Amino acid sequence: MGALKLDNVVKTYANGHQAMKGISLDINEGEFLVLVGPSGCGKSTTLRSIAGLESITSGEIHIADERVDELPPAKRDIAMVFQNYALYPHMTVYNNMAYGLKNRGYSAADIAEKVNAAAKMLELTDYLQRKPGQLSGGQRQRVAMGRAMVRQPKLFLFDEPLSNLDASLRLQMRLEIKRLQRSLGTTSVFVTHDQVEAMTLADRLVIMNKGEIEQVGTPKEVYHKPQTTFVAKFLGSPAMNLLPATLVGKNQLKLDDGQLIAIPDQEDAVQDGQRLYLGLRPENVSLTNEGNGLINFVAKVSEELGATQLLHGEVANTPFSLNLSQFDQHETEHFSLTFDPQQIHLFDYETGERVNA
Amino acid sequence: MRQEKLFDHAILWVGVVFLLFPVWLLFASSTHTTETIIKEGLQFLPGGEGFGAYATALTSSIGGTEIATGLRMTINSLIMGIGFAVGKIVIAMCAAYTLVYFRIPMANFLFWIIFSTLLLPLEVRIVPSYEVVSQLGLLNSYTGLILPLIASATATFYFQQFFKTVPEELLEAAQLDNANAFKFFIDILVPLSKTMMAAMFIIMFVVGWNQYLWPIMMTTEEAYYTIVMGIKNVLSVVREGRIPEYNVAFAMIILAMLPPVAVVILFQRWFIQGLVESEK
Repeated sequence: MGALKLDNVVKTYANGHQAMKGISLDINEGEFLVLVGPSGCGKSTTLRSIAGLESITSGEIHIADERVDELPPAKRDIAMVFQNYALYPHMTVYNNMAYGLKNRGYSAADIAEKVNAAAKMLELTDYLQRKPGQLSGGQRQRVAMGRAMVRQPKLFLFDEPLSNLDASLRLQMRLEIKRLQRSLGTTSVFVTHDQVEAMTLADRLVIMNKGEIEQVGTPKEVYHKPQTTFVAKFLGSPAMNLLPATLVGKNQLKLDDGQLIAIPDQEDAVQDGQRLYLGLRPENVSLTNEGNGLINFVAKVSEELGATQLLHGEVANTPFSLNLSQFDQHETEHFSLTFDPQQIHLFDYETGERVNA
Repeated sequence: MRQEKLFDHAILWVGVVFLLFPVWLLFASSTHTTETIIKEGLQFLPGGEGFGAYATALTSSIGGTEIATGLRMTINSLIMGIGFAVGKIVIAMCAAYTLVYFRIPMANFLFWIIFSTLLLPLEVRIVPSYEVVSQLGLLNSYTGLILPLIASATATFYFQQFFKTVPEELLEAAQLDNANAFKFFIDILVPLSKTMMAAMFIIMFVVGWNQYLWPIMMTTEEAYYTIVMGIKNVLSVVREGRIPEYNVAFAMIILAMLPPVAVVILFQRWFIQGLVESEK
């Protein structure tokens, strides 16, 4: 039985804008699900609908065995961590965490026990009597998580909780969130626009675009087998290179400047003459000197990343980037590229859908 | 640099002297006898009578009966000022809370109706207001003094603007924390509004304290006289052919100034403290 189930959820705003165009999701007990997508893709609306902060136009939301989409937020047995933490500025850390329990009629002894346990887990014990204004960003973040934890809800919702932190702290809190979620085993839904955050945290990723789900899968699945050009471009930095091409026979691609590339036989998935995108990850391509039947590449700019180097240039007048572990300056701008034929991605030119296995 | 600073300070001192000089004149004169004031005019230096006039102002009554002593009138004024300020804050906060946080039909229209009452100050509506209060039998009562003046468009507007700056997530977090509308208001909004409330209290207390026309209309019993009215009464004995006790009147004016000054000083500290502490 799923811990959270969304069934064809639609949200249309009064101005006619459709933020969710029929979202269906099934989340397992204890799973860490990450909703990721560009701004305006509906990921926050989805999260807020689960929380009950946003009413839905049609569809159903179930938490455990209970239909919740008509229930007020407090009755849904969920807890949420907000982007700006939304701590009550006039209350101490202790009271911030205790407020929800107090309003649910817990006894003072119960509250103290729960808050102290959470504070211990989050290393906030020394700060319980401080006000949020006297805490650092990371500490506030932990208080926000503590406030969610003390209620022991069925579901944690995170709304871009790390985006207000600086880079190093974000990394640290990312690990901490993951560790906490593992040890508590609470089903979690996490919204972010940061693909690294999404990849590292998720058991499963949901990539959203324009109110629709593009793909659901483990980080490995969505990275190595993106189902659409959108997912292919969205994940990975630099993004996947997409070259417009026409299929010749079943095992050759003709790029727009006429060069031919051999690819593994695609059998029945494609038709001769079909327009496609050839997708190649920057790290799956390497430079070579023997230029026979390979891709011609014109180098323009290189960027040093330390461990690797990025080399930006063009293939058939389309921008193309490489991520190389070793690259020395050359006299020439013209190179040939070679790639592992197993690491190619083919998408239909019109629909953007993946065509190869 | 230094000269500029000196110049700045000179301007400030001119301002201070300009504002305080009349007050000093009153104070200095109040320590003289009535005869000296009548013969020689206002006095620049303190006289030999000390604070005798203040004792008289506080303890003896000016009117026909013995009820309206300075002390009694000060208490009346305090009741009026505090009732006025607290009442205005409570009503304005409730109105602003409703306007900002509830989806009510024609909220904007309602707000403009509230706002347009700024065009109808007490002086314009004094006859109908009096009629209403008198029909309700509230003449000569504290309720009658305070209630008709208690609605405030200005305060409502300020609180409305303030509530709009409170992050939406606080409301949402409170919703998740099972706080109903009433709890959110009491537990979250009211404490967050402390500084606003202090600022409003300063302004409204002073306005309430300085009310003159309404108490004069409203009160015929001396038990409800306020100190601002009292000052006038000390001087109006001229009509009865008596010489007004100017020193007592001046003393009363000084006394009447003290509570508003105290409120400003007291709440200003609180106000600044609140500003420093409540950061989001």
